[in-house]
Amino acid sequence: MLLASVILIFAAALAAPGLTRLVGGRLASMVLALAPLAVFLGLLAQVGAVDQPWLTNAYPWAEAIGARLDFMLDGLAGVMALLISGIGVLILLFAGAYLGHQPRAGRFFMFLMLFMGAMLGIVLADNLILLFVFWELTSVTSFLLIGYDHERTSARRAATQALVVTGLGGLGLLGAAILLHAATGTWRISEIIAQGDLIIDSGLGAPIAILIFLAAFTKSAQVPFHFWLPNAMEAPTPVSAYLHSSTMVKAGVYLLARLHPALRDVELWAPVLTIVGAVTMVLTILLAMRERYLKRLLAYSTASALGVLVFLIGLGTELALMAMMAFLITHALYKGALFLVAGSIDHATGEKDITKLGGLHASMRTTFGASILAAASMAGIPLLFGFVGKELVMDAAWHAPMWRTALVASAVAMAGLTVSVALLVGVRPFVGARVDTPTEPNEVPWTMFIGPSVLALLSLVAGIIPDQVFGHLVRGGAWSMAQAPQELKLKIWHGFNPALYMSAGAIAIGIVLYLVAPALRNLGAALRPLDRLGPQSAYERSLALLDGVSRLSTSFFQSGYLRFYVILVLFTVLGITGTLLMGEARLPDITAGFDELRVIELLLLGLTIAGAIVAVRAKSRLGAVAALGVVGYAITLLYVLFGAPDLALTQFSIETLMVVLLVLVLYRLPRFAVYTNLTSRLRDMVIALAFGAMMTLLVLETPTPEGMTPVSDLHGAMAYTEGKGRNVVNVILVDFRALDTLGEITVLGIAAMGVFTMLRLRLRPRQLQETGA
Amino acid sequence: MNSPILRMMTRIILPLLLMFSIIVLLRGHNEPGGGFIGGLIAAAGLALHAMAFGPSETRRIIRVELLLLLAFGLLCAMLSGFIAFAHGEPFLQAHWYELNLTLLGPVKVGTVLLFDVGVYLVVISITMIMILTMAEA
Repeated sequence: MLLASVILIFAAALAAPGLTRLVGGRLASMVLALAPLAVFLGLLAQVGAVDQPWLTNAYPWAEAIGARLDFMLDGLAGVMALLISGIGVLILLFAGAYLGHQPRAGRFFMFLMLFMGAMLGIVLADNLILLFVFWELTSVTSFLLIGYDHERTSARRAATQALVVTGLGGLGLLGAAILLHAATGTWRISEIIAQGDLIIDSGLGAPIAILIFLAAFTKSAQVPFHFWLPNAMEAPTPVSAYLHSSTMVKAGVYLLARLHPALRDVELWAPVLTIVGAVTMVLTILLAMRERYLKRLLAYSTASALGVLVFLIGLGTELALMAMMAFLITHALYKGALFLVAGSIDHATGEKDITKLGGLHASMRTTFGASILAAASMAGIPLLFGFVGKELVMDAAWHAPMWRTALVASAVAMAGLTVSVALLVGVRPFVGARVDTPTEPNEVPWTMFIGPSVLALLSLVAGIIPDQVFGHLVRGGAWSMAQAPQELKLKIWHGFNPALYMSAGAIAIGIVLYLVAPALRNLGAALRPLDRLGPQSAYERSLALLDGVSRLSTSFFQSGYLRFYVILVLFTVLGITGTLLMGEARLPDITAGFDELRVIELLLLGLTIAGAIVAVRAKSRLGAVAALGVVGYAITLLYVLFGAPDLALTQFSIETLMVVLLVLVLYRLPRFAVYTNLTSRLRDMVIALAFGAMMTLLVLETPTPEGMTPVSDLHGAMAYTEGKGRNVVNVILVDFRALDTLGEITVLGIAAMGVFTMLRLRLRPRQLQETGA
Repeated sequence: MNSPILRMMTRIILPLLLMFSIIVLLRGHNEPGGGFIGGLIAAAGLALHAMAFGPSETRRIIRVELLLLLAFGLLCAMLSGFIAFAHGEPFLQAHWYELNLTLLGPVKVGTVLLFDVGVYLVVISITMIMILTMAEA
């Protein structure tokens, strides 16, 4: 069923463009939404006990290399998969209304659903390689979706930036997967997480952890890789709401959670996660106070929330893991809702700047209602699920095993700033006096407000009866990470404990910050020059460096002179083969067999040498060609003399055709003239002699390798019995080594096509002028 | 080249060379010869024709588009490898069939012949592509 779910989504993706062409964007999105809805309902039916996996599907594929299609559904995977499919339905409906009328909407839906399938694949995969493939697929689809409006330079740049940063993490994931396999001998994740001690014993724990950190931190926008996320807001709002808040960015956190049972005893694991998570959660939300655009505010706060999740995994206590699952769910609900609200505001008013919005409560009632609830959940107001989650986070920080003061302070700071952002995004645009906007605002269609409304209502209901709604799922997820029984229940009231005071303090701080927000924005603007020291500018400078180095090396190696390329190739072969030969070669006894030399052999030898000398010293091209021909025919005769008729025939024919070809080419060149000076001719002579000497040594060495039997004996014996032919050379060419021959004729074909295209493409004089040649 | 002697000789030599090239192709498995040499001999004959009559005339008598011939030759070589799949064996495993031809009696024909024919066609087409394109340029 798990594989079927993924395939269903991919199939829907492929059907999307055609369907959109047929019935139009809005209707198509509603039909397509049926696919994730089916997956959602199917998954709900599979929810099982807290302390064991719910469903495992394994399909052998290429057993010899251990490639299998393994899928597993447990608490953690279940929560993620339900979020992916459930929110996916709402996003599709929203997208249908938001951009369904655009000409390329079909392609948009296809990319979105491809992403959905890949994301589902990540959380359901039980095989490291399968996970990696889906991981990279999400990076690619994210690139396509961010750059959907590809006519805009900023969109293209943001898409490339996201791809490069997350792609780097993908390499880390691959490296970690290989090391994990080396340490445990299996690719199956469910088996790996049971073998934590094996990993520590193998000594590979630290490298694996570092590589997993690379993958997770890049994907989940942790400091210092956080800069791509706000820029990814160039994407259309449905993409921002889906990928960059509810699902894709959580993939990194998912990876950390999934591998936590295996790696938690590695020394680096807990400290690094705690520190990076805590730094991210405070720093990014602080950076948010600089922003005026709705989506960028939300992006920074998403990065901060991801920091909270990472930090909680780092803490690793039973309370922290429960908090992490609860916060994961509540964040997806309120952030998804707020992003969709931002999209609705943009759609209705054409304005994205919070300083230019206000008083929309009258014209957009339903959206206003959803927005208030979502913002309250984000701020951690009681009776909303956000409060339950926030309380658990505060409690986990208060009971942190180490660095308690710092962590408590960070948590309160983060919460305070989050409250302020919640007010800025969810409340500010709606309250107060009406501000004039480019378009007169009206309530958006139902397909657009159903998303935020459902998510906000869910936050409300779960805020009142948390354990009944999400308790089972949260405990299931926490079990997957802890591999230990979970007893904590989600409660809406824990008593007057430190966590409550922390939350209350945070809300107070947040309200104050909201009131002074404009001043903070100005302060942020004044500090912009400091960005030059930040990771984004480091990224841009490294790309520029890469560009410069490539340019330099290309202009050196691609000089345009044929003789340079030939010298380079000869030099390289000479260098590599030469050094190897120097180590191994004994100078063979070339005087052996001198007494057996026949006159005819000496004559042919003399002819070859004479021909070579004449070719070099010739005063006309035709003379040089003729002399080369003599060399070729002399070698042919040598082959005949030594009993190699096939070689002789081939050499003879090629020599003849070569003369024809050379004449055709040389016919068109200008009159013979001396182009090179003495130094270059001496250089050419040295290289040519060196290369010739190396080839001679090579030929003399190869017939007598030590300790090896010549394969020609085997071929000679097998030629008639297996190859059914008496001509050994031909049998080798077309039977024993047929694959080589196939490759050779393909190369010949490509060479011919190259000659054909280059000669047919003749630049006219005007074109030559334009290229500055 | 406007030489009546060359033209006359070519009219005689070319058919001989082409027939000879096919003989060389077919005898390759048991005696010196094979696809490469046969192809080169045929190409030499066609090159002679191009020198005597001009490249456009040579293209006319070849009739098929040379790039098409090249592709067809590669296809033959590839297909000869796929025949082994029908016997559940790996790519390019050679297979031999006994054919009973009325005039010649039992004849052994193998997938390697198809492969060699592919090589033959490829060699002819690439040589002629190069020579004719250069002659026309």
